[in-house]
Amino acid sequence: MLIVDKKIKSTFEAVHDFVIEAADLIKKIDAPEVDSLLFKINIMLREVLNNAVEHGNNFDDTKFIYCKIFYEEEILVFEIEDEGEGFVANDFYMMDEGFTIKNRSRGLELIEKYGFEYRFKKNKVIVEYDLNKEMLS
Amino acid sequence: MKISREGNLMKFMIQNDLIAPNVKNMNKVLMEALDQTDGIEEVIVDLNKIENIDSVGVSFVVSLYKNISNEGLEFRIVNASNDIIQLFKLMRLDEFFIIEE
Repeated sequence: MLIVDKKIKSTFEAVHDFVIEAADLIKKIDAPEVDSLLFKINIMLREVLNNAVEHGNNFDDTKFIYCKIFYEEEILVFEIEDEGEGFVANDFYMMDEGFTIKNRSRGLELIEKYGFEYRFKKNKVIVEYDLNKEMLS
Repeated sequence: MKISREGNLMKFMIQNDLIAPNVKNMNKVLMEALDQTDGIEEVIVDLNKIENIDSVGVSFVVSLYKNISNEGLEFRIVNASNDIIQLFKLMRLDEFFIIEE
């Protein structure tokens, strides 16, 4: 089931508006465990989308970010695609700093800690969350 | 961000979500406030109004903590939601400063 299919501008403000809108739509999924996940989804989306704005599209207001959210067989799937050169060159990959008091690149590790699974295809990142995890926890 | 002083205590009441579009303006206010810590021994950051946060917002809190601790002052987070407290713990920030539950 497709929940969201939208393109947004390459600004942090557009990311915020999209996250609020997407959270409202995700709440409507017929799965009670979603409520306890909304904070994590909110943060995950902000991390992926802010990264696309800053490192994918370099704040270029002529470029867009394409966002799709699906819900299939108790798995939430988020597909975020920017118009950049691909995620490999992004700071998003800087995982070496880890969870320390240092100031940068906490996003990806945070997504992992929250239990999301992700993979990259050029300039697209696909993030998945199996709602069965919430039911079991 | 509202900043108040009471005796040797300075309180930062964060008014807007700690997210990327808001943090730039907060940094400006913060820098001005940090010039006025004479006589202050402890800084409290009240997150009562914060619903949304991202890693830019977390970095803002960390930066605030670093500035405060460099001045030799105590630093404490109060009134954060349970989700935000758990997030800070997940990022092990509770090893650096007090997060009141």
